[in-house]
Amino acid sequence: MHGMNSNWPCGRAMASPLNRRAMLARCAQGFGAVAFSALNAGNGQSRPLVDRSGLVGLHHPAKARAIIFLYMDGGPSQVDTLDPKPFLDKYNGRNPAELFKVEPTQFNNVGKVLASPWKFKPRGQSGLPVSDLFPHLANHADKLCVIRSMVAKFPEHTSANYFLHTGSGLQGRPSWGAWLSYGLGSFNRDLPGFMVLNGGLIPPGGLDNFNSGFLPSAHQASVLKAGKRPVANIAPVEARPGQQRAMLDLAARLDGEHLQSFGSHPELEAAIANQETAFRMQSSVPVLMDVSAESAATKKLYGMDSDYEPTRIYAQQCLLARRLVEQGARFIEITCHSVGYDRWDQHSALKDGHEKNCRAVDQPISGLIRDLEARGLLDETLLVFAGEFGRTPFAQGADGRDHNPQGFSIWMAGGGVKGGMAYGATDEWGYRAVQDKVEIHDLHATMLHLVGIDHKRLTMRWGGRDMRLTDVHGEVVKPILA
Amino acid sequence: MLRHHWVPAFCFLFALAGVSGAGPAEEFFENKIRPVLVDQCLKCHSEGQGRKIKGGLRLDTRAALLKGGESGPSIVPGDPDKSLLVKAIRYQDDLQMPPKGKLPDPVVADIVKWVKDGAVWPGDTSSGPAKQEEFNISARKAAHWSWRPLADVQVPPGQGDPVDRLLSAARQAQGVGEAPAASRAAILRRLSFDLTGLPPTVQELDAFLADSSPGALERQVDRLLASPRFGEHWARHWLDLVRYAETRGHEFDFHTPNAWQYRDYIIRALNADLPYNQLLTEHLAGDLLKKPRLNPREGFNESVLGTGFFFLGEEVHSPVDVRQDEADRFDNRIDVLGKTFLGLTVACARCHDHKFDAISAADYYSLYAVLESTRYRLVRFDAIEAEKKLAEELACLRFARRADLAKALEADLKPLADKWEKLMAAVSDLARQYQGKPADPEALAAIGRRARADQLNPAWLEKLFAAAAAPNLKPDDPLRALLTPPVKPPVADPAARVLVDYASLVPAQWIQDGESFGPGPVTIGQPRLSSSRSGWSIHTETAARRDAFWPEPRIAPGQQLDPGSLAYQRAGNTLITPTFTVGSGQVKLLLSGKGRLYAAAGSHVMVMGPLHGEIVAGFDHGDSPKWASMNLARYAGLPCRIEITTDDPNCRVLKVVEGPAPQTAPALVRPDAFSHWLHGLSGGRQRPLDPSEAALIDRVLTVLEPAGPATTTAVDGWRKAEEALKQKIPGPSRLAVACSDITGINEKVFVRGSHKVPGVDAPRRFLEAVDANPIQGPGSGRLELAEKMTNPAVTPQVPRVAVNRIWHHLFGRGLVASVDNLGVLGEEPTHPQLLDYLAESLVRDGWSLKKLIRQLVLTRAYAMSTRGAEADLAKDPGNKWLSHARVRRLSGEEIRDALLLLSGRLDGKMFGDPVPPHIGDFQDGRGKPGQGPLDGAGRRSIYLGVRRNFLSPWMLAFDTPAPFSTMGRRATSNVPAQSLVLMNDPLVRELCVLWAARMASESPAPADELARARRMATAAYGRQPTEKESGALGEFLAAQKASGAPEAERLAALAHALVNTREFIYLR
Repeated sequence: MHGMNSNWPCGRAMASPLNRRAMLARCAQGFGAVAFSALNAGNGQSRPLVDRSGLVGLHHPAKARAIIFLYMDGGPSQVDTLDPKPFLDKYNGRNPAELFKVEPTQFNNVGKVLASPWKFKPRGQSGLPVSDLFPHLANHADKLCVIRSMVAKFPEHTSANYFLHTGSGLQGRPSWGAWLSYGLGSFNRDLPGFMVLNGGLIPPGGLDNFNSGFLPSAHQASVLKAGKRPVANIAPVEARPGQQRAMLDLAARLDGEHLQSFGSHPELEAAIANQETAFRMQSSVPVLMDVSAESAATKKLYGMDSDYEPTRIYAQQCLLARRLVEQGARFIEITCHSVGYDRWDQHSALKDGHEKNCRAVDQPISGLIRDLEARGLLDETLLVFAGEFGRTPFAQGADGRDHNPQGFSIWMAGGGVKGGMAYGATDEWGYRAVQDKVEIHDLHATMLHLVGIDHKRLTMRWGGRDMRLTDVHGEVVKPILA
Repeated sequence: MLRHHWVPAFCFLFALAGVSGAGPAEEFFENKIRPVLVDQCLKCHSEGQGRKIKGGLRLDTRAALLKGGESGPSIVPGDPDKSLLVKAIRYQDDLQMPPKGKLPDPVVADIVKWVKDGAVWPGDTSSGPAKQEEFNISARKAAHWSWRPLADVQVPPGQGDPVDRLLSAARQAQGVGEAPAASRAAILRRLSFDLTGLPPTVQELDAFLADSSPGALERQVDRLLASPRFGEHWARHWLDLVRYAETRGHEFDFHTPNAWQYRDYIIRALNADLPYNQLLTEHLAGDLLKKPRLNPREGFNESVLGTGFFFLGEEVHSPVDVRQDEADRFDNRIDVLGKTFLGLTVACARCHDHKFDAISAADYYSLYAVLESTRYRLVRFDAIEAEKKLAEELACLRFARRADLAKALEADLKPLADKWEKLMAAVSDLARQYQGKPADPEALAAIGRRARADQLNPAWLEKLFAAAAAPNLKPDDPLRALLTPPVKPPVADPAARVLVDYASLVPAQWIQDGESFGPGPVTIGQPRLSSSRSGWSIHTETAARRDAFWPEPRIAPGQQLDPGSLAYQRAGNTLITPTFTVGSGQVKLLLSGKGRLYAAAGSHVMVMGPLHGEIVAGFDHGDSPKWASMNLARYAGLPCRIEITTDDPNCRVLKVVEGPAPQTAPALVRPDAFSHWLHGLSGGRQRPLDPSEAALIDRVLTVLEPAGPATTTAVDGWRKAEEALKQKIPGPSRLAVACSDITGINEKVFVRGSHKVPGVDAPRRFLEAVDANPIQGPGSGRLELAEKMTNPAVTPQVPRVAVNRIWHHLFGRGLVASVDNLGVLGEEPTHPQLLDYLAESLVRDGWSLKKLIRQLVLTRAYAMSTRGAEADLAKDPGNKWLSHARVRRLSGEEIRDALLLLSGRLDGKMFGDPVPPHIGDFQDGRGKPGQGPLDGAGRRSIYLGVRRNFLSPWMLAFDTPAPFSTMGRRATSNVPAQSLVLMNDPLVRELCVLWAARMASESPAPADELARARRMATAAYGRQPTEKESGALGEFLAAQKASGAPEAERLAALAHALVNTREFIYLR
């Protein structure tokens, strides 16, 4: 496409592109090469088409070239998964207000201190504690970097979702995937940089969590669904075979005539090229999204043979994520599938709800880690497992927990982070982060750092300011870097 | 740029005292304190290479600590509890330092001790705090072009429009040429899309090409400007500025009630060529205009609809911190206001003075205060003007009738007045003696004796005695005043803080939504019509009273109310207290009757969950006033008002207090009450009546019915006159979001944008760089703001921004390319003279947008070809100097509308409820709306529903902005997803099939298939196809025929091919 530089994009701090042609080339990046690569992949044993020789990064050498964000929509409970708190056993059933200062919550239905229904054990060489909720993941403890001192700013879902995804609690800012796509493009230059594998649950706040905000719309997420029509408008609508090709051939002829009589124009040329790309996508995207040709062992590894449907669905998403990483995608977000509860948002039925949510994701994520590792991709792929906030150590009602943004746990694994470690700490209740607090902005800064971007230098001028994902905040969490 | 709180001088003296000598204190500092400061604090709080000092606070010298940063001094030596530094390290409040985690307890204890012992800092002789960058409004204003007055532009002499002369001069100066004119067909297509968003029809094209008479082009321009399609198209541009949507986004995407009324308002305003200064004024203050603009056909208040734009943004339901949420909402409103009208990024001054422009944080919070003094409401815009007029008539009528009645009463009641004191004394004595035994024979005998002794009317005495001594006498019966010995007047409970007392209200505090509480509080003792047997009563308190004249305000069918706990009809029947600041939050209201309460704490209107349940309540108190309680402790410190909504004519609102429930006042009945009252009827009162006196008089009059025929006549006349007036009460009204004024309050700067750290005062006013005078009036001051903004002598940005937006839409790039930002970080104008010439013209031509557009599209520049000379392209690749016209891709709306038009599916119906959007398979999430028709019922795109969380993928693919802030310049992306839409979207296919079918039925039907194809190409491109193109069309049809496709399918495929060509979606 018109001399597009395969090393693009480069400098991002400039206010306007060098010239129109360059700008068009930049805007035209889209979906195209999914087509080529998937067709070449042929038998489903897809080969990486990406030149992995250089993890160059935009501002400094990158440790990871792709991020898979395992979004635990609704907010998993830290004290039941990754942050054991013996105090909760000791004070189980006591009134929390007598023990510590309780902040207002969304429902303000503060119950008693609630001990975790699950046991924690030290795992792996590192002895990192993981609760019984994650039997598969526990096997990878030595690869996990758990951050136990996350804090967020918002105690209710939508603002917290926007905040987690965009660094602002308001609607309309670019999602982190869009920033990454804007900063780095796709390794495979025609593959969208930012993809969301929609498991069925779009988080509160809707698709705007995945938008490009004031960045060019080419950077918004492509939301892919499993199935025959993974993206909108991918199937031809013509009645008979060959008719679409004939139609497009006529259009191409007329386009040619048009450019002859009215003069050539780079924007029009780019649009013509887009049409050919779009044509090819119709056959290639479904191939890329079709995991049927993966080996039985691989499918089993992810849990695609599970007797639990949410596990099978999440397994397929994880497997797709691996395929997309192989093709050079930059940022893949996986959203959850319903287990019959309102996501991870267990205001009640904590026991059953968390068990089912864990069951849905545990084996697939574990399979993903193993598969990436086996293919030599784990070192350059960053996995991030996080909700928008955590949950209270005291009950809401009898068997539930309310939202808690003041201290919660996430984990990272793979490209560029240390394994088998816990960073930061909450108080003895698991309620507030008290040591080495990590803000969402810090998480963003760290993620950008790992893919070779200085978060302070990735900017877009909008509304009179040079906007950043991290706004005016954010520090790279250096102690967790490998 | 920062304002400092200077530490009192004694602190310095103290500090100096601590420096002298060496000893354990110095040692303590060096061992325990300095290492902590160095390790934990100085990374952010000291000067270093290229580093910003966080919070403006340095912690590397003692003087710096004493001076402090943006939040004030850090330490008060000797008083740890008053030292901000200590508070921060104790993690007590919101300021928590160090941010990453609390210091170990022993370290905290050391610092506390150090401060307590005087904060000794050996050897600190540094001169003190870091110097701060100067923020100088006038210097910044002087330095930047867009603040300067409009220039008096000298247009170069010569032929042609001044615009062309100015453009030519610039081209000549840059050494670029000018492209020849485009073909007439291309010009018509350009005009048609630019002015109406639709392509010319084949008939329009033929007629124009056949018309070679002078003025042919002008006639086309006038036709298009007069078309109702003009407003529909330009309204879409406008909606991009005000982040128009019909839902509030966030978690459940709740609706913004009747938001589309604003959309229709804009379409009508643009079609009517509403002068731009008035458009602006209506947006800011349409509700405050003395003479609002009435819809010429339906008579409703148009002006008030403009104010709805403030509320088209996102809203959060039940945010945990409503003040934070308000700060975020207001930020968006100020952002939209500033960018849309001023082309200034005022909202950048939310956390600090603007980094580049002449806008201070105080400016931002002065506008914030304007918004705090403004109320969100649903307005009954069909009814309010008629009701306002009617209310005035009613007030005049009552004034006159009350005077008539007073005269009659004075005559009729003289006998009672003469005997009042004795009569009351008699009733009091007897009723106390025979309480509960009204039929006691002894009592009856005593009545007779007393009547004779005091020369009282025995019937009166009997009646009153029977009522007062009745065993079932209600506890709140005013006659009880006669049974209780007089007590001294009650003292107000000193702990209760009176928030509003309707007995002593100043007029500016009288705020209501509608007219149903009348023109002000009712006055104690004044007669009123009532349902008593005599047909009249007197007001027993000076209070706000729901006026029985006004029925429940009716609304038209299908109107949306607010979602959540405020989903009741509040428009037209709501009393609003003055705004107060919540203290303890134990708010009590003295009320009678039945109704609902809403404590508007902050500006929170999305009450959905249990969290803010306390701010809504009901009351049902019956006839006599009782105290209702609200617990607003959660909102301590917030500005708040109580809104009382009722249709109960028994509802009176007397007083609102905060604190412990005040004691109910005991009766205070003095012997001369009746004569005072009667005297006062004609305006001669000597002392105010006590409510229990008025109640007693009213009750006695009801029992005795002493009035004669003169009174009866006056009451009847009054009643009939009111009944006649009631016929004028307007019918049901529609509702729209709008503003109204409440108490004007001022705000403080939120230091670093945090509402938890109030700074200096920011009284309501406009930007200091424009006009530093505070707003004088009692309300929000929005009208004053609008007056200042529409005065180009003080706010030259307003006309500049307006003409620049028009230019942007007609020429593809603004004279200032950053159309929403004329500030320092915006772009410089390419043609400053032209910009100012156009701004001046706009003002001179009565702010007419249509005149401006007409002038521009008739210039030579507008009609140029898009084909630039090679030399010009090389010299000016960005086409800054406009050597040729810019190619423009049609918007998603234009593409869809054009397809509808070509297919014959376009329904020209204007206005009304949005068509529910068609939700694709890939759109999901909470608040998912019901499915709408694929073709949007054939309506133009502007009438398709805009649901914030379910935006049309079609429109997003073609760069319709997500509605979150002002977006005057849409991005133009170029991605395969757009091709996929045109290739495979089912709507495209459906319309192509329709289009093909229409060709066969068109009258006169084209002779053969190729003629049909040629005609379709003509319609698609706005020009006849060339020979070669015709050949291609013919070959395609033949091949399709050969493959067995029937004619309808052949033509549909051909239509689809046309849609998939560049020429269809680009303007050349």
